[in-house]
Amino acid sequence: MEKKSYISAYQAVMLLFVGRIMFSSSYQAAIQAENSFQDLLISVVITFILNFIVAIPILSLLKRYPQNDIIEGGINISGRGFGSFLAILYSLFFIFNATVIAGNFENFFTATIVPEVKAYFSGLLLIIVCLYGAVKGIESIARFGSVVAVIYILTFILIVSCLIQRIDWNELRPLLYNGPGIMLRGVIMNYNMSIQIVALGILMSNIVPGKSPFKTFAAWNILSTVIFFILELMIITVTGAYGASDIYPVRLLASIAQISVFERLDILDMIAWVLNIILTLTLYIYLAVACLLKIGLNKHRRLLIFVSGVIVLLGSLYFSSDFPILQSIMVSGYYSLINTIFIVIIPLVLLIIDTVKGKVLQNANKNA
Amino acid sequence: MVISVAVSAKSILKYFASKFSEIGTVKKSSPEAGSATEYTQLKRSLLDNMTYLQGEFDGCADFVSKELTTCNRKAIIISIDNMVDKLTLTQSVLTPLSKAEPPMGLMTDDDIFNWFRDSLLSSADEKEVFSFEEVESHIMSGYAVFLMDGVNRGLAFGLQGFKYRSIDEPNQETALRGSREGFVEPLRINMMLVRRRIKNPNLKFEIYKVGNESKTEICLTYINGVVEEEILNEVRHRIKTINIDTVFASGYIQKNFQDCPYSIFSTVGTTERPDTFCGRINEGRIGIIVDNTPLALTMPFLFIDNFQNIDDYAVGPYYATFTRILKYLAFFTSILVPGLYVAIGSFHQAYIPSQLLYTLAQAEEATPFPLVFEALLMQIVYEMVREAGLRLPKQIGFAINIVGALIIGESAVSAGLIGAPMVIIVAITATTTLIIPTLYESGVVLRFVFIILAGMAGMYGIILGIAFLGFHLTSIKSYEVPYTAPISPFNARAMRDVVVRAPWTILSKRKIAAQDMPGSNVDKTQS
Amino acid sequence: MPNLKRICALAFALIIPLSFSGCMPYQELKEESIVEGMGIDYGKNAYSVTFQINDMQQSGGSGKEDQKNNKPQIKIVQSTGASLFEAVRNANLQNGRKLLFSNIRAFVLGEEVCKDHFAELLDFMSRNDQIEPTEKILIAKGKAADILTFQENDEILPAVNIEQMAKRYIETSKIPNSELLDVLKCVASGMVDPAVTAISIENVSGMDTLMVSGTAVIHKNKLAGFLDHEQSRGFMWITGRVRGGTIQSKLPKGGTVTTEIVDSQSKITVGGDEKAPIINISVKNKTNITEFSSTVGYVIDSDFLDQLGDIQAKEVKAEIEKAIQQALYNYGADIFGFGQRIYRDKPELWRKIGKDWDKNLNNIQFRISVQSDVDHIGLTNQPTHSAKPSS
Repeated sequence: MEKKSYISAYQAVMLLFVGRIMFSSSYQAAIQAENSFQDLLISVVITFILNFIVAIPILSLLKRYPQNDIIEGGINISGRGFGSFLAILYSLFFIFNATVIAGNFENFFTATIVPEVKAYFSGLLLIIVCLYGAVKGIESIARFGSVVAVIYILTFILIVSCLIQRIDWNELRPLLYNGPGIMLRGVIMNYNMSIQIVALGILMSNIVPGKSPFKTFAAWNILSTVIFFILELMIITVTGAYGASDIYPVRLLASIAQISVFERLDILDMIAWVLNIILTLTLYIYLAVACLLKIGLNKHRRLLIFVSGVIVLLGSLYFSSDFPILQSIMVSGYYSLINTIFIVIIPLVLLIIDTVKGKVLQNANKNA
Repeated sequence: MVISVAVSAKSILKYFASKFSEIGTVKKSSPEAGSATEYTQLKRSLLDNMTYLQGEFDGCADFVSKELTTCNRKAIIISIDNMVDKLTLTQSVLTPLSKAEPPMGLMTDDDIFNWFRDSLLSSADEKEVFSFEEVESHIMSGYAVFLMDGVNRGLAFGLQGFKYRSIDEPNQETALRGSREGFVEPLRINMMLVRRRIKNPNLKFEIYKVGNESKTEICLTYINGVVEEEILNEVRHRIKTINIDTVFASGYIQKNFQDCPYSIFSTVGTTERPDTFCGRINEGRIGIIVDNTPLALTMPFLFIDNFQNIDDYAVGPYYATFTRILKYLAFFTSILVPGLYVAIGSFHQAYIPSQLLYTLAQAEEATPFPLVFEALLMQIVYEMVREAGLRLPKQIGFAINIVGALIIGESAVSAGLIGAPMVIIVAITATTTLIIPTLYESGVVLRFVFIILAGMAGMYGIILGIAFLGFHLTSIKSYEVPYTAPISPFNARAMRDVVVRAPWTILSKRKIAAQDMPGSNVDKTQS
Repeated sequence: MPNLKRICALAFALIIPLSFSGCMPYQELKEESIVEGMGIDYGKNAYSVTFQINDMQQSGGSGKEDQKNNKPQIKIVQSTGASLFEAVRNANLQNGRKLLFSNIRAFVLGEEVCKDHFAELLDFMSRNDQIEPTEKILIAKGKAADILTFQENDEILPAVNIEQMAKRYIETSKIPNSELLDVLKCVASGMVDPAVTAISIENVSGMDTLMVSGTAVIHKNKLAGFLDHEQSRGFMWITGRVRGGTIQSKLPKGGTVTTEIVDSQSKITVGGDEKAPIINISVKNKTNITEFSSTVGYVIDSDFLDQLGDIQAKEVKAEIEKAIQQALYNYGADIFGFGQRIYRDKPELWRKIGKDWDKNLNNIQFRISVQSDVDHIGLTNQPTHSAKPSS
């Protein structure tokens, strides 16, 4: 008899935090902020509030059916057929996000680590390790995830404290000189990055019973926003308008930081970045497969993991060979619409069906 | 001194005999778990018994028997040569028997035998045996068995006098402030060492026999009330399923108790010290002492247990915390530093600070081999020197160490084969691996893997290796307790003994047993 | 069969990495040249790049003793190419090893190339991942190749010395501290003109030496001119970067006091309207008396210190005005960041005058106020002077 694997709420928060914090900054360059770089700080704050608003449907769905995640709730509410359709949709959603992350990583690898390597080499090794992690299960991913999150936070504290003397607070003024355009684009970009609410929705069935989903979500949102805000603040004040065109500004920050003899700390940033990517990729592949397992494909778990790994690898090769397309997708409004479907519309639809069903049942009970 | 021991044994026996005379006979020994359930009753005729036994032990030159006549009946004492203390045997058994005058009223053979058993023969460790299998196992464990004509029972006297290694300081796990006793080979002496330290009737010993041919005894040790029933039943189940011919070292059966036998890290701990053993049992673990092995097994065993030492609890909290942090640093240094050096020196020279870059470049300039080859070569040479030093007698061992360390390293650098930084790295690695002896095997394998990964893919390879190792470590469980608890899943209270060693005021509050670790899936019946 | 699966997995795990072991470029230190200094010039429609390379081949001997006692031998490689990167790669036609840029001490840009192509040079440096953003940039008066091949005592001066000279700006504050990051920030914002340390070969008491000789002013991506030491210090006063240096004040009754600058702060505020924007510069500094040469006796008391402070303030104000005169009015370059100040403090004002900032520069009215405090006086209370015999 296999016991069900449980992770604690703290581990879930750490897992999702890792996914949010790293990659958002690499699409900033597509916004082309130039002199209005400081407007992006406002968009971080706006996204914080927006996250809470947008999460309401999912959170109320989770509250109605505690211990069931979105897919299981969907199956309960609307039957197996629609539930399977939902499961496939969400699975594709996660696979797409995984492909985006892997593509970003391969571009990072080519740009900063070793330029002459073929993309499929780095991608293949990455996928192998991620598949291994996905096979091991959510408990292993969560435990490793909390360690990686702690490593990231320590690196972050180290780099920030080295750079404090270089902060130029004047860079933060004036705000919104060129109008709200940059700020809105920043909001769209940050919104596209905050899909972890969906991940939380699917992970809910693995979280130790008794934890309120709202508190978990709030903890994640606050933690990510605070750290991302400080990171953006550092990027804006230390690198100024030049950092607005840098594709990997966090790495730029790390290469400016100096500690006595070590004139550049971007090796620490590379370690934290690659570990984060491995973890997030593993999590998304696991979630994509977990969605499908819930509709009854339990026996084919390893095959499904292998297949999704192959899809992610091929997709990432396409993206990495054409990185500007990836950048433009991430800051476009159409992608936000698609995200909204997954985050807001589908749970809303489920809620409506549930309410209607409940009312019909009530009426039936009254009449009977 | 032996005479006084015998005299005291006799008086103790008399005391107990008078106390428990109404309770009656010494209990019948039950067929032991794990052994074959054959049971061939002894016969009443001494001749038949002896014929059977001598047939079984035909060709065994160490099977000795002494015939004697007591109370006008034929009797025989059989034992294995050099297993029994002959002087005590003579004094407590043979002499009384030869002078025995049965009291009036005892006529039958059985009565006289009972009189022998209860009143005459004085041995503190005396058992009644009923079957041939019991007789054989007892005399091969050092008992002397007394058989009388006309009686289908025998008496086994525990007068073991075989020579065993004296209780000495364990040479693998030395401690500055702990006791200097280590486990020895005989099982019963080891049990005595444990019992002396935990004077609590809740400390239970259960004896099993494993090994189809060797029939080695193992002792399952636990403290009732702290240990979890689920884990205990699991261990008992695994003992029963051991199917192996011979057990000459505890390592033979170690893999039966591991949940992941193919992992690099072992989820079963070993120890040579009774105080470490008792410390672990006190935390709800289960110990197995194997006869003829000084290494005892403990389970469940977590990653953090590798870094805990009896010394940490005997010194003050500040120094203990310092040494704990040092040990963690040492382990990760020993695994990662050669790989990091190879990765950064071969692929990412941009990250090296300038002054160091010149030194490295000059060192590299002079050497013909690439860095990864140098690293592998030096590590292999070091392992060879270490293996050679292990197997040789002490005098030659010293010479090999000096040859290896000084001469090979120095001349390699002077001849221009290896760069000086590489020799320093090997020295650092050598020192740090020896700080955690239990992780030595895993450390060596991991180090080589990281060097090869670094040589193939640089820093990226090392990070991938770390991720792989991380996923692997966090997925191992030792009896449903996660291997990396309480580091991850994290529990601040349980961390009081991991990287820091909190003062005793905190450590003596609320015991945290192995099954209380965060993330463990054990069904608890007692909190 | 679980065993077959395991064997397959193991074989897979072994074959894949081994087959890819040739894919990662294994770059040995033996096959790399460590570039110490890079100089960029332009001539005949091609970039001409001078590399100062630390030559390990000559200096690295075999054996331990040689490894300790070797000074780095410098090797000069000059290559040309249509673009900067091509010139860099063409260096491999002369140098058998790949170039390692991570250890560059100083970039020296020639005067000619900065007159036309300043911003284009920066693109190569910002795109490359090996070059740190905190490396020093210098502009040479003349050709960069001359600076990097300058010989002192018959040995080529390593770029380390150039970098260390540039780092000593604190001691005199007569040169700015220009890193690649600062220049990139200025260029990216488009409102501030970069001010770069200038280096040249001067003749001091009969000998040619390298000297960091002030500031090079860039305007609209072209080199506009140079500021000498005094004007450079004026620039540093305005931007509040003075941390050291000396001020000489002549006392009205005779004698000169030399004080050492300990700290300084500057505050720039903006006022006025679009026709006549007003910029208030207020500079505060703290100094210590280090040398007092006078034939007349003085008693150093608080009145004297106040008086000294006023005299110093006048000196500082003179330097500031010289800097503004030369950079702003003669060259038309806003290296002080006045435009950026207006943009930040009064965005509405900037909207009106920002588009024609080059012309509107000349309408600025400056109000400069300097406050100078003399804190410590050393160990003696009077200047060392020959006392008149009391009679």
